[in-house]
Amino acid sequence: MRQPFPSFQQLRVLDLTDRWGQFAAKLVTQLGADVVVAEPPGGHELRRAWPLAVSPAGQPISLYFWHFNAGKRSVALDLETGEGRSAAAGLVAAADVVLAGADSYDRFSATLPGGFGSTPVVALSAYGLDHRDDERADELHVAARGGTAGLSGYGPEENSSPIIPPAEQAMHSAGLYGAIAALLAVRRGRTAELFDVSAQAAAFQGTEQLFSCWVYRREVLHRRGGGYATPFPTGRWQLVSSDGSYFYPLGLLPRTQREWTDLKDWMRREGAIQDLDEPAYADLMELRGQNPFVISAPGQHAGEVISDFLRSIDAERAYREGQAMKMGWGRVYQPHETLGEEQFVLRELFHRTAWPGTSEVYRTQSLPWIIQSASVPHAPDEVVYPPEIGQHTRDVLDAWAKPVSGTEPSASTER
Amino acid sequence: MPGLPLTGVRVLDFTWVISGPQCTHILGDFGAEVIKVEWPHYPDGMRNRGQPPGTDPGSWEEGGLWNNLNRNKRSVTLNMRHPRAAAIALDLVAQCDVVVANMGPHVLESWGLSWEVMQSVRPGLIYLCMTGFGLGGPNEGYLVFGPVMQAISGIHGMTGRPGAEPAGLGYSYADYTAGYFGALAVLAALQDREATGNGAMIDLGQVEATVALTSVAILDYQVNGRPFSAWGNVPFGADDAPAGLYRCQGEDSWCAISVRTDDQWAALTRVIGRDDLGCDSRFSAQKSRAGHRPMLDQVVSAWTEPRTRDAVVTELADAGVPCSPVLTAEEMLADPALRARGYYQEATHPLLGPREFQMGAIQSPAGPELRRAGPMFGEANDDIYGGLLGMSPDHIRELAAEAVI
Repeated sequence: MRQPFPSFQQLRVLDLTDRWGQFAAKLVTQLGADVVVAEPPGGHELRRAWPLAVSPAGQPISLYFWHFNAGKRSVALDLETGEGRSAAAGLVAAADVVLAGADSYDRFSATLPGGFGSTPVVALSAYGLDHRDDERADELHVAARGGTAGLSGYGPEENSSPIIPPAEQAMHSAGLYGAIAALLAVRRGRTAELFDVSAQAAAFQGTEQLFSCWVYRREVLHRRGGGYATPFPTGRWQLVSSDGSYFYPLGLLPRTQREWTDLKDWMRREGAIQDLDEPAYADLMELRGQNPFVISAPGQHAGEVISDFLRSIDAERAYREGQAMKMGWGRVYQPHETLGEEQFVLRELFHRTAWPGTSEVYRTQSLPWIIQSASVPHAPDEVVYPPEIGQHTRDVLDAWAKPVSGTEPSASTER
Repeated sequence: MPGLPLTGVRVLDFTWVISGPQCTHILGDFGAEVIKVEWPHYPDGMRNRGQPPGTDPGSWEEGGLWNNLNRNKRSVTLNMRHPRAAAIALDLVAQCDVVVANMGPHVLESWGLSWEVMQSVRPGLIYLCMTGFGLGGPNEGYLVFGPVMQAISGIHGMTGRPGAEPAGLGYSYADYTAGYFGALAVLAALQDREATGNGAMIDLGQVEATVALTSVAILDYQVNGRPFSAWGNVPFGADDAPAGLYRCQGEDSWCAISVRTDDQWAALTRVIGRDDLGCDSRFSAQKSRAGHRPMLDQVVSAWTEPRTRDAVVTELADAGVPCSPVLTAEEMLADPALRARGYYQEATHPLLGPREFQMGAIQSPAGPELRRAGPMFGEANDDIYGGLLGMSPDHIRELAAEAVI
């Protein structure tokens, strides 16, 4: 299992997030922090979120809640009661940082005497706390207003239409910024500071050339089927291989003359060289030109021959053998196909998880890194469970009422 | 509290293209001193990509995307293939808290800068090594760029209309995501070092970072046996219907509309002049409307297509139907929510002049803060080699003459 930082066990994080903060809280949990999700007595609203499964007892299980909350502890809080408000105030005061949504930020600020006190808060929402827009606080509208919606989709030859990023990518980007903000907040200490994270801003930040092409060149980007919008209308790169799988050769022509020679050798062996042995196709730089998006006519022809070749073999072979000769190509996989990828198995990318009270164990994504450090031992591949509603209420209220033991930091090694 | 959270943290930056620079600019935006090490004769190709019209295409100083990605950094030149370079690089490492590289597997080792050697000159060092698939394993040497990572990880195949060819993403989202994960890893390691005194080497696989974005799809497949099926323009997991992006009058002009409640449905049918649908039992409940999305999309498109986007947005917003314009880059620059939160900050570049920068998704008293535009090539050689390493001007001139820097 990918290693959490043992020292993070001392880090107390109170999770009051809605959808926009799910990935942030998951990341901080995976880093090893003691993350406590506060739920109303009936359970977090996302315990009913799609996709669902059915437990052996016939109860609906939200895989969404499971995915984002595995490894956390749960406290049930009823803010309608004095006891609940008192418990909430205690948790806020004991936390090193609070992760909140827009609603919970308002509710806790209004309900608790002293609000969040000196505890720093990271609030994650669609457009930032000062631009609440609940009717349009979803991935569709954030994509429309965050620059991502117009960049992906289908081009003029395919009944042109834009497509928003899949599976809540604005939320994921905001979550990464939220987790970064949480660690910055912890570093600052109890400063009562608010870190306001906007999913719209997070979406726009990752749009690569959109901002700079307009600001510096007054160019707009043209989307096309198969990905990668460019300032110039260009041909398609995505191909259908002989086995019906999709294949994505980013830039059909290789980068170096050596790679071009290797690729032509491969195509010759496969009887797919066509006319590429003619002198006009000998010099790669003549074919490529200076601008990767403006290819010479011979270069375009070479690309068509390469495309013909790639369509004639299966995608897996094209991917593996192409990569063996340093071609930056990839097969278009479905997400679940990554589970069997030898590379990920060897590096233990996926860790075990299960629903409480059930025996089936599944695999889910870990943090994308392996750490070498004297303070981070290799961790056993333990099964990580999502919490049941209020499962840890008493334990957490007792434990968080006491100061964290052994919190005196070592002498800083910063210069 | 004075200063920024990472004030006092020094980062040695062996990064290029997007993922690494995205990581280190986040660290710089929150106060870290970032020293970018550049190859004197083969700079980052982004340095001359996307220059303003009329500038010298061979210039290494006026790339727009490069400027945006490399603000708040200093630049030194160092030819790591020169025999004298490794010793100088190690002197720099000894003065730094963090080293970040995205040069490919084992490139720093080949220069004499292995993790063990760097640790020996700087105990407590944090080294973030960003590569395509991480170190080790059969895919270690694979060549992957952002869109290819998106294809391999599954995120590309998730993007598109239901039942149609994958559309993929039109930008290198995976590179940015790897950069965010890299910054998070460095911050976590700094936090751990505060507690334990130990440094860390972080072996980050950028494709692995992209796999994280496939969200719950992997679990759903295992539990329900259900491969991911593209949602098109419907928010993930939502019953909204009609919902999606609809073409409006004008070139490539679109708006987003989503109907979540019965009241919104009633308002929509009223506005578009289709009261008959409001009485149709097939559409009386959210779930049943969701079962008729293609037909509802046709109805809505027939109403939006002859109208301008702004007229559609105004009319539907007045009626209480959630509707947004699909903003262009030009409109993003004027967006009130982004403007109000200080998303754009301005700094002056010696050649590009005053320019605005995208400052990320966090707004706080602790940053981000824009202190300088992207650095000119090697602009900090005297400051860093002279000031930080204590080299004399003659020594620096000699290194330049020998093409070491």
